[in-house]
This record gives sequence, C-alpha cells and structure tokens, in this order.
Amino acid sequence: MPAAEQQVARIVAEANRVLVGKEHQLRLALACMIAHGHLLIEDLPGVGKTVLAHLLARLFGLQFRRIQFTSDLLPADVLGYSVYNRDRDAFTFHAGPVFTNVVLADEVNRATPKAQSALLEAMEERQVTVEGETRALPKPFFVIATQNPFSQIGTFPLPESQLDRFMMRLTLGYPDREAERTLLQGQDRRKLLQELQPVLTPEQLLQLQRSAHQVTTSPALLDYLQRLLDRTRSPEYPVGLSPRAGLGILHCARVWALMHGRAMVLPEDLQAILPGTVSHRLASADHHIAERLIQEVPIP
Amino acid sequence: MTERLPVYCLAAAILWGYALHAPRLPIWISVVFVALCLLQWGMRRRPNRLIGYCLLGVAVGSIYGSYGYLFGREPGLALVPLLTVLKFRELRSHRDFQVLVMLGLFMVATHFIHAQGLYAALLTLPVILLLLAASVLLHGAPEPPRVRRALLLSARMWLAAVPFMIVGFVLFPRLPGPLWSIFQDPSTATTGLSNTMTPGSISQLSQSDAIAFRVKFHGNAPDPQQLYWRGPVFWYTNGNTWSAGRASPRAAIPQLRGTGAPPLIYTVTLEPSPHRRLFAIDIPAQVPEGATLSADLQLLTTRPIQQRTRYQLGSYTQYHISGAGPRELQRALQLPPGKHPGAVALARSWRAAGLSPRAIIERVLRLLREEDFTYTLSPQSTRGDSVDFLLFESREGFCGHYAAALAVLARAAGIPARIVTGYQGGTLNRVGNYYTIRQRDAHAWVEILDAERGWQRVDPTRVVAPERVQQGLEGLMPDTTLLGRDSEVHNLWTLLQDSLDAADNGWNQWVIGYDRDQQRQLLYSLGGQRATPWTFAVVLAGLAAVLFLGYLALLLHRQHRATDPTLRAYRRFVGKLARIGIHKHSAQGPLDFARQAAALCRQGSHIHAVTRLYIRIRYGDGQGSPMRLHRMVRGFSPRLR
Repeated sequence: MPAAEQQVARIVAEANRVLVGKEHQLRLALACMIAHGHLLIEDLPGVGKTVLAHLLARLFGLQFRRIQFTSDLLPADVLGYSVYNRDRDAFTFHAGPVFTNVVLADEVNRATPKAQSALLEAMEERQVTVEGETRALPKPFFVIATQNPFSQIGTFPLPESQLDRFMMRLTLGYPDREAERTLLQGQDRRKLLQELQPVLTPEQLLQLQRSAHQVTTSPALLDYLQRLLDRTRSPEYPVGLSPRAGLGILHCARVWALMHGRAMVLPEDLQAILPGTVSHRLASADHHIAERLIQEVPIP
Repeated sequence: MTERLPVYCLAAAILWGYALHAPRLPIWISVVFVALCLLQWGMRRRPNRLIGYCLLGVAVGSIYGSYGYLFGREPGLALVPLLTVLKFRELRSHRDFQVLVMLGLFMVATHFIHAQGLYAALLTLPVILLLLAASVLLHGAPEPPRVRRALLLSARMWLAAVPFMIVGFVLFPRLPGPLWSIFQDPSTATTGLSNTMTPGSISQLSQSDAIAFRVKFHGNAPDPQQLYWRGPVFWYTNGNTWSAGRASPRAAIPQLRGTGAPPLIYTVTLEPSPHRRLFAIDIPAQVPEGATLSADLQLLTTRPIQQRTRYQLGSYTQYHISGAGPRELQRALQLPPGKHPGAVALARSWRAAGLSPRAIIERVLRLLREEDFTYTLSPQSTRGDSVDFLLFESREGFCGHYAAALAVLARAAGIPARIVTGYQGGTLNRVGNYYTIRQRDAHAWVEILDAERGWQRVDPTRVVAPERVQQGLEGLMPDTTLLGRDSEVHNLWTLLQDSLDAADNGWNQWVIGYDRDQQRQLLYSLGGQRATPWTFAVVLAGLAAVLFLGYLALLLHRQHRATDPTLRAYRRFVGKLARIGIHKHSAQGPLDFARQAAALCRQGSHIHAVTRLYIRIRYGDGQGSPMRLHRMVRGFSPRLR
C-alpha cells in the first residue's frame, strides 16, 4: 500500500508541472481511472480539460485518442467500420477511435443520442459489437467526456440514466491567482506535454487497479455508506442514489484509501470522493448537494 | 400452537406447581388431576365441546365429592389446578398461552396460603422461572441451547425484579396480619399444651418435634436447669384429669419479688396455637403488651395466637411469691373424695407422725429418689387408681405422673399444691444463638405453698431422672443415631440442622413477621421520631419517582451508549476533548478530528495514537485490542496548548 502512495505522489508531482493548481481534481481523476470508472468533466472551454486527459495518458504511457463530438457524428465514426477488400475478397474492419486506452470525448452533448449511446455502450461493456462481431477494447480503457454547461442550444444533454455510467463528474474551474501567474509565465502546455516522460507503465496501472480490491471495508464503514445512500432516497432528494452508484462510490473510496497508503477505507475517504461521485447522479441544481449530504449524515 | 417447546416448558411448570399443592389436597383431586393430564397428553385433536363440558363436570364433581361443598377457600384452591389442566385443551393462540402462564402464577400464589416458610418459598422459584422461560420461548426464539438460554434469561428477569419486590415489601402499607389469615379457622392451628392434663398426655407431646417457640436472650443465657417455661396451671383434679378449675374472680395477683440477679430479658417468637397463652420463664417480671397476668401467674392473651407472635419479656429465676388467699388455699387442697386411697393414707400417716410440711415434701422426694422409680416415656397402661398404681405398683412414669403423685401426696398431707405445666429446657441453636423449644420439651411440675417462702417450685422429675432436667429429653433417649452422639458426623449434622433452622427463623422474623410495628419502627429509624404516615407516603412516592427517573435515564443512556466497547472508548475520548472545547462534528471522520484536535492540544501524539488504534479496530481488519484502547483513553487527560 505505501508503494501505491509513492507512485501516486510521483504522478501528482509530475502532473503539477503541466496542470498547475489542480492537484485535487487530478487525484480524483486518477482515482476514477484506477477504479475502472469513466470521467465526465463539465466545464468551460480552455480550463485544461484536454490537458488533463492527455496528461493521464502520457503519465502511464497509454495510447490517447480524441473524438470531437458534433451533431453529424455517426456511431461508425466512433466505433469503426468494415470495408470490402478486393484483394482478399473480404471485409476488413477499420477500428474506430474508441479502440485506444484513453479516449477524450469532447463536447459529448453535441452529438445525437445515437452516437452518444455508441460510446456509452462501449464504456459499459468495454467491448464493441460491429456488424455482429464483438471486439474487446484494450486494457486499461478510460473515457474522459467533456460537456459545456452553458451552451445548451442545439445540444442533446445526457439523460440521467447515461450520467449514471460516469463514475465521477468534475469541474476544473478557473485557476487561482498564483496558479494562473505560473501558467502565464511558463512554457507552452502542448510542448510540456510532449516532453513529459511516463512515470508508470500500463502494467503498473493494472496492478494498482487489482490492489484496490484488497482494501478492507469494515461493517462500520458499510453502515455509514448505507446511511448516506438511505438519506438520498428520502423525499428531500429528487433522485436517490442507485445500487450501482453505491458500488461505484465504495470502490472509488477503496482506491482513494489505496492512494493514501491505507489498507482500510475510512469515512474520510468516502467524504473525499463523494462530491465527485454523487452530484451528477442526484439531478439537483444545488452545486453543494454532496457537501450538504455529508453534513446531514452522522458517522455511526 | 405449532411450537412444542414452550408448551412442554409450561406443562413442566404446571406439574411442579401442582406438586407443591398435592400433599395437602385430597387424594381424589390428585387422581383426577393425573387423569386429566394423561387425557390432554393423549388427545391429538381438539375434542368437541360436549366432552369438554363432561371433563369440567368430572373436575367439579371430584371437588364436591372430596370436600362436600364447593364455595370455600379449600375447594377453590383445588379447582385452580384442575381448571388449568383443562385450559390446555384450548391452547391455540398466544393469548391462551398467556392465560395459562397467569394461571400458573396464580397457582403458585395460592400455595402461600398454606405455607409461608423459607423453604416453601424457595420451592416456588423453579415454577416461576419455568413459567417465565415458557413465555420467553414463545415470544422470541433464542439460539440453541434454547431452554437453557430461556431459563437464564428468565432468571435474569427475576433478579431484576427483586429490588422492586424488596422496596414494595418494605414500604407498602402492611395489612394488620397476613392476608391469608383472614379465612383461617383457628382450630386448624397446630397443637400444643392442652388446657387439661392427664398423666399420659404429655408423653404424646414428647413424640412431636414441632416447634413451640424460639427464644433469644439479651445477654447471657441462663443455665438450662432454670429454664422452666410456665404454661397452664392446674388446681382441680377429678382423680385422673387435672384442669384449671374455676378461678375466683376476685383472686388477687400475688406480690412478686426477685430475690437474686436482675431479671433475664429475652424475646420469644411463638408459633401459632389454638390457645390464648404466652410462655415465660418462671416467673414473669413484666407483662407484654396485649397480655394479662392471671392470679396463678399465667400470661394470657385476649385472642388465640393465630399467627407467629413475638414478644419481649423479663423474668426472675429467683423469686418470692406472696401467699394465697383463703379461696386459693381451699382450691390448692382439693382432692376428689374416695380417690387415691393408698397415697392419701400414706400422706396422712406422715402427717400423723408429726412431720412438718417441708419434711413431708422431703420425704416424698426421698421416696422417689431412693425407691426404684424410673422415668419412661412409655409407662405401663394404668390399672386402677393412677397415682396409687404409680406409687405402689409400676413405679415408672413420665413427668406428668410424678407431678400428679406429688401434688396428691402434698394435698393429702394438708400442704397446698398446684400443678404447673409448660416446657423445660430447650435446644441451643449455635448458628443463630437462640433456643428452640419444641413440643417434646413439654413438662409438668408442682408448686407447693410454703408458709414463709410462698409458692415454691418442686420438680419431682428432677429427683427421679436428673438428666431430664439437666440435658433435656434427648439426654434420656436411647442413642439411636448410627454413629453415636459425639462423632464428627453427628456434630456436622447438628450444625446443618441448626443452620437450616436458623435460616427458617430468620425468614420468620424478618419476612413473615414483618408487620406494621416493624415497618413503623423502620420508618422511624429512617425518618426520626416525627415520621408519620405522610412521611411514609412521601418516601414511597419519592422512591417511585427516583426509580422512574432512573429508569428513564437508563433508557436515554442506553440510546447513546454504544454496545461496542471500541466505540464506547472512542466516544469517551471525544467527550474528554469536548470538555476542553474541542468538539467533533457528528459527520467528522476520526482522522480529520485527530488532525484538528492535535493542532489544538498538547498531547498530539497521544491523540494520533488513540485514533490509529481506533481506526484499526473499527475500520481495519479488526486486529487490535479494545481493552488497550480503553486503557489509552482512560489515561488521557487533554490540555490545550
């Protein structure tokens, strides 16, 4: 476990050189990645969404592809398609951009529901079925989708059922003064990114993912989680948390504990990852709903 | 009722409960009870209503047949177990079950109408526990072993009820006399010394081990030889039976004077008897409340001693009683005409020889001592005149025989005499340090009126069989114990008997004998001399309020109090920090709180150590000792920086 903590520290230190002042978000994104989850980033353009996605791929030495979602995007543009090959007298499959380790689905709400669901199914199943043939996606597979919260005209917002498939939703937000100054003084981000060397191998990431399953969750902690889940199922909340959400939260908390070098999950771990994991699932306009939830439920 | 176990438990309780009653119920009731039990056991299907009425008829009929009437205490008590068994037929719902449990408890309660002793009370305890266990088994199914767990739980419930029982017992207003004596017929009380004496009557009593009374001396107990417990005094004889005769209504109480040591002070606890008599060591120096002293120095009460009675007395063992009036003299010389010719002739011959009264008494005693007179509990049956037969033929008898003989001889010689019956001696209980006087200690002796010294006790038995007076009756009995009287085993046996009797005596004194007076005394000692019934009410209400508030507090505390020792220790830790102003939000995790507290507190490392251990036990793999956590928290006294 302490090894995991050191690895994470090295990644964070390295990432900090490029993505200034976003350490907490970076850690959450890392947690999401180690927990086999997918990430939804909801923010304005230009605050570093692409940089973050790129960073995560580079630091683990993973393949990275970007799909710009537009209203005329077709499922085949995401998944791939077969073309008849005259020489071999057969159809050959041209894998789509989804066949990679890290996918950045930019402005996912601009595409039609049909194209969206193609991606979302791939996220859930971690495999793609094209023309009756099932093809496994590479491991690890991690999707970072972004959506722009303000320009809702001509968009297809993700329905709640689809939102539930993202383990975490983050906002990056504007950098603070100090970070912005560093940013303005520093070099070009793209250049920095290209210079970045991988810190961990993909195999080490898979190892981290496996280690997360060893983290203990005691009955006392499960009590606390159940209290939290129960609380959201009261009439005060428009939508309660699903059992899938509960499983996701718990696993994410395991990863968080692992990243902090602990072999057991503490209430603090749950509290740390809760805002990221529940706010998009509770369908509430209140940005602080997760904080409120934490305050309302005493730790048993 | 598909569950068998609670029903078996209930049935066991009912059977035990019946066994308590069985010895005093007519045999036919028991026969019917057993028959009904077997019938219930055998019947798989619920029989029809008609058979039910028939069985009820049999039950009621057997009671009527045994007692001859139906409406009364005894038939009513017999009806309870029979109806309880019949109720088993209707056992279908939980409600029926509860009714049976209540009936069982009622059956136990009725047992106390007849038996109030310590051991009787102890015998009812298993029934109560079994009934509670049956209820437990019915309502919640404990883990196996179910019966043992249910019994343990009911024992705990019973123990929890004990403090309430004690408070209720001590403080609840006492009724005058026990509740059950309301119905009691005095004639059913146990036997004792009778109001007449035929020479053989006392030897019947000598077979009885029943306790007459117990005595506790305040200060040193006197020599057993001085323990003459004065009872009925007999003046009149018809030649065979002695009785009190008709006392003169104007008979004055003689003047009493102690001539030796100050009076002995002692407390007597008298068993119930059909008579109106208290016993005192010869001679009583004072009269207990509610009793009167007769002219011949008997202590009499206005009503029969229906329940165990306790009184305190003082007695002179060396005394002077002033002489009698002419009417008493006449009564003390009465002889039936034509009876005891041999004895009368003998006495007259002494008188004619010019012997003084004292010399004549000496002569009689010498006769009894020197001639071959023996003391026996089973003398030959009397032929002819009882006194002459003893003196001139059988030469064997019991204290009654010798007392009668001495009295007749004295009267025939013109010396006023009367017979006093009572008890002599007693057995020291070494455990409780009191004397037990049993019916077999019954005794009879003679009082002679001496011209100068007044009434003087003369005990002819003492001359015939000195051991009777010195060692008690036991000294005279053949040694029938297997190992001899002085063996270790015998001593142990005596000790055991003494202990059991001492426990019983304590129970009688403090539980059965706890009456209004004792209650008042207790309250006086609690509340001082000014205690009134109002004090009493206030004490009771106050105690009830305290108990109620205590119970509420316990409930509230239970809610907050975690059952998990780890959590309990941690809450204590949090409480200690809260006392110095470091409060933990209910949603704050332990690590966060430790960081916050350590920043404010001098004992930062201790806080972290406690938190680490707590986290390890509560959220980790369960390793780590809650006891150690408890110790660490106990030794923790936080100070602000």
